[in-house]
Amino acid sequence: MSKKEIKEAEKLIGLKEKRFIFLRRCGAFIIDYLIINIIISLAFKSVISNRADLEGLGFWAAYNSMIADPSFSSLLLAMSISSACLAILYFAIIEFKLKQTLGKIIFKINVKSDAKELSMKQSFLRNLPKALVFIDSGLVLLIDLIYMLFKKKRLFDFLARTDVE
Amino acid sequence: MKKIGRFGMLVLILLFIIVIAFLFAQIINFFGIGEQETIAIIPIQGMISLGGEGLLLQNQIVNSETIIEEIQKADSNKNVKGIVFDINSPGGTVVASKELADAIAKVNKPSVALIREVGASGAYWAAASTDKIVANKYSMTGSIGVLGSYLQFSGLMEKYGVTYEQIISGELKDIGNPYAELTDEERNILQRKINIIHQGFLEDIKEKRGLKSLEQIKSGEFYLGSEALELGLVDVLGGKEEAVALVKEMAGIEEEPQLVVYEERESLFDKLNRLSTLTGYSIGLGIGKKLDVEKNFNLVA
Repeated sequence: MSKKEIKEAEKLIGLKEKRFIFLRRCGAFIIDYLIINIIISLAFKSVISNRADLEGLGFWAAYNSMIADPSFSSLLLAMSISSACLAILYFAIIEFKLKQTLGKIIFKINVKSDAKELSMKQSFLRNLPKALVFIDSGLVLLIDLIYMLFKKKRLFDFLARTDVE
Repeated sequence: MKKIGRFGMLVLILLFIIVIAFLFAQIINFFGIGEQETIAIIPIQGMISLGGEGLLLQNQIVNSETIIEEIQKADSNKNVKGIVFDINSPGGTVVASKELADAIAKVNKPSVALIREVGASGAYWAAASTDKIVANKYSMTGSIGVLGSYLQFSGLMEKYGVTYEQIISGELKDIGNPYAELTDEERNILQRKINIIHQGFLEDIKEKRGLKSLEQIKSGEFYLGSEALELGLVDVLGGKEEAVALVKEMAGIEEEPQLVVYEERESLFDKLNRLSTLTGYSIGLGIGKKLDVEKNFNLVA
């Protein structure tokens, strides 16, 4: 193979690796998101059962019916903010301590810092969009991911000087 | 870090987060967020129809099924202690109005109908299903009757030599078609149907309002609020304040309740659709007016 062909092949492998990591990161996020939602549904079940007719409805069905009811807007806001706080605690503390959340452990990826060690501040900043999913329905995370399409790194990873590999 | 150590750390952190989650839930319960006593305000604004929505020749049309959904939401909410139906409607189609009236009658909480400018015909049918009716002294209400009308083009067709060919099985199959005059038999049949609906409407109002006689209201006349009060068709003359106060009293609410409007939220697509409908209508209106002017000039010429 010529030098040019070798370079092309290496570039192609690099791209494939990046795509593979992207898929693993997505898989890891889905698992972490599910864990957080399980915690939320267990903890807030009493909140919802005190306020709505839950007979025959599961937690999420009752929650969805509350979203459609305008009298619950203050409650939903309180629950959204609580859920966002729980999410940031989950991601930030676990990644700071272990460099991996449970989802990342399963998909064998780690968070790395551009500096020597990953700090709590970095961990907090890079996970902010994931927490905001519970308040703004994912708009910030979407912007984060669109940035990743062009720069091959999440915007908040860029701001926090971290990466995942 | 050893795997057991890492696993132990993970479990510890998860337990910590679970504890924090339950703490948040207890804080929300402690402060009673979302537990405030509520009075639901359900608007019924526009002509009541089954499945229709939006604008028709600048008249608002409201979907009875949408309102019924809002009623069910408010009724199933433990915090909602009473409902005010904010009515500004000239009425609507028979089935839609009856379904709405039945849905309101099934509500398990105190309800008051507040009639604004108009609460007549089918809208009054819905209002009569509540516990009390409040109206302004100049509100238009009543009109307890049934209307069935259509444009009939047979004269116009005859003028232009257009004929109507009827190929049917069963001589009454095309009763009420706009291209032929009604025969006496057809007219009587349609009148009979209207009378049946009217009688059902009257009986329902009589039962719900506890009226002794239907003589005074069966003509289909509309009444001002003050007249309706004398006839027993409304209970109180007043406005929103009086309606809310009535619900508070009936529901036994002591503290100031929160008032929450239950209506279908318009999506961005719905807003754009409504805007384009209004724009199209306005453009058409403008062109129509312009053409009128042109036509007049031509006539003069």
